[in-house]
Amino acid sequence: MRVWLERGAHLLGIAIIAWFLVDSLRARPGTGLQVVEVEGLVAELRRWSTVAAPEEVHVTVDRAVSPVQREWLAALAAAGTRVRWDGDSVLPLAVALDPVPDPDGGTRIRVAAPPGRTLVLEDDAGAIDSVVSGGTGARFSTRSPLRGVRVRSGGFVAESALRDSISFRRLLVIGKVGWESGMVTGALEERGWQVDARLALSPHGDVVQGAPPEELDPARYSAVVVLDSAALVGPARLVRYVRDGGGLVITTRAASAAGLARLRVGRPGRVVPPVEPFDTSADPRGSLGLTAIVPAEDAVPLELRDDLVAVAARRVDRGRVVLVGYDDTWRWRMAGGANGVEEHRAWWAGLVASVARVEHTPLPAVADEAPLAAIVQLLGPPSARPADIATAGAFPRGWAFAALAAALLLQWLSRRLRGAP
Amino acid sequence: MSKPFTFATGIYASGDWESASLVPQNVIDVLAKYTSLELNPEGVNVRIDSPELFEYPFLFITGHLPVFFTPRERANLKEYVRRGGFLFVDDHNHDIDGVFHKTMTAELERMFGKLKKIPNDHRLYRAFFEFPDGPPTTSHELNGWGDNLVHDYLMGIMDGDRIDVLYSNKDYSSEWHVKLTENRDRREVDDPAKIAVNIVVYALTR
Repeated sequence: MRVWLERGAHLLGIAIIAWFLVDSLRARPGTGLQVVEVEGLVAELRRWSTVAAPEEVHVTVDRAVSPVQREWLAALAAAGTRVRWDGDSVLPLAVALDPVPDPDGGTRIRVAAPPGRTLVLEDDAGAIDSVVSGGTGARFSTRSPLRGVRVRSGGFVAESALRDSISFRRLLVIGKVGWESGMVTGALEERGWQVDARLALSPHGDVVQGAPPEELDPARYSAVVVLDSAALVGPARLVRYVRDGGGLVITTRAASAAGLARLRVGRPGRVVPPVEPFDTSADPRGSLGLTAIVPAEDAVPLELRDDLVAVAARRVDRGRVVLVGYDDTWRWRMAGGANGVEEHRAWWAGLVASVARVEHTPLPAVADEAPLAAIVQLLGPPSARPADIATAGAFPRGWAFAALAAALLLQWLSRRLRGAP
Repeated sequence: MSKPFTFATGIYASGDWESASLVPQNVIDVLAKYTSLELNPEGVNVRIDSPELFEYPFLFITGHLPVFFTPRERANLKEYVRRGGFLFVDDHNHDIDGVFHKTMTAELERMFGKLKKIPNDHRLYRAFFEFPDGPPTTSHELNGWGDNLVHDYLMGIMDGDRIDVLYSNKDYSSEWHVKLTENRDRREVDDPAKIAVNIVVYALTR
């Protein structure tokens, strides 16, 4: 019995050695189906590109794949290797970076991510902010101009760089001499805009700042702010300016008085008188008089006060129009509490930025804005991880070697114990 | 309906803030005469230490007597100017080194820093009417009742070229306190309140 056991171990050893021999002849390095995880991908890519390319590669994506790795895989696929991948845990993450059309600078960052993920925004100097994504991802805005950002979530990273630099033209304010025109103009100038103005003052003439021409041209003005129709020369010119790509911020009263209904942002609705004295304990805009907007079907309400639309926007051909229902916003600056000046300035700058036409100059940018989308674009949709090859790598060889060693050791030990040579 | 321009006179604890009570009505009249500004037909008197001050971005302060602002008045006026309010102070005495002048300029400089002479080619003097020689003289300066002293400049607290606080010791208060139509008839000078139009228009458009 013992001899039979020794012979069995001997035969098992010979069989395993034979299997190794056959396997080494069959599975030459770099051929057949290769399964690899992202951690070892660089080394494998190097081997596949310098020793021998496999017939098929399957990458299990469990963390970020760099653009270089993606491109390398795509090159491999173009050279004839069938490249597949799977990645059930890959986070669909994308980030876009846009400069705010505001002379004060600022950057708008939009991140697409599944709800409930912790997103960390960073640039080369370090972390900027973090937030848990909501139903539509997340939005960040910074006062400082950023050239590039990264968003991290778990082991996944998306990054974006500015595609364009922007430059501005001047602004034109049209209205009548009064606190509203004075303080809106002041706020926009404080923000860095160069402002021309035409303000009605008397039957004998207007107050003119700068040299505004009668014909409005988007190449000259990034946006026009119409606070009152009194000094408006030719509403048709204003409509033409918008259709040619200009930005317009206009009050409800001015729009209706000037016969600008063809802009079709909305019509005036309920009139709410101002709160006097100003209530600084609540939202400052709650104390302003309001001519509510009944927005047109294709207009977008931008701001609500209670259930009334206070600001609405609409695209008109190549231009954009924002309709403002508030009256005397200067009261926000003067009577709206300690932060009224800054809030009023930022609010008006935001309105103008939302419509302003700016000139874009492309910037050279290298970024990985949507890594998952890039993988799909380059390598096609994910496929199931092959079950039969999941154990076809190191696992069987290791066990086979262990079995060989055990069989030989058993045979040698048995023979020594019974005194056989 | 937007709020019309309101001429506000500042009430302060010390001195005689009410010494030129006809000024608001006369300035409103002259603004209505020359401009199409939307105007509140009546001026208001507002305590300079009250939150209501911030509803009136144009503030006129005058008086004859020494002025000492309370800490709350100082803080409110300082914040008022920071937010964009325009403060116009006129010395009702029309003299040099009078008590109002000395105490008021000390108060203004304590709050805002050094008062500067406003150059006579400043935009203030072209804001509506043209005053190529700077501030127009008053009847006092032309020996109506006065001392033949001609103050040939105004002073201000400036932010660059922009005037935030305008200070006059030309005694426009006396000039505009008199019914302007009568005043104009008995003097050789032009309508003395034209400069008031410039001051208001400048405040609204600076």
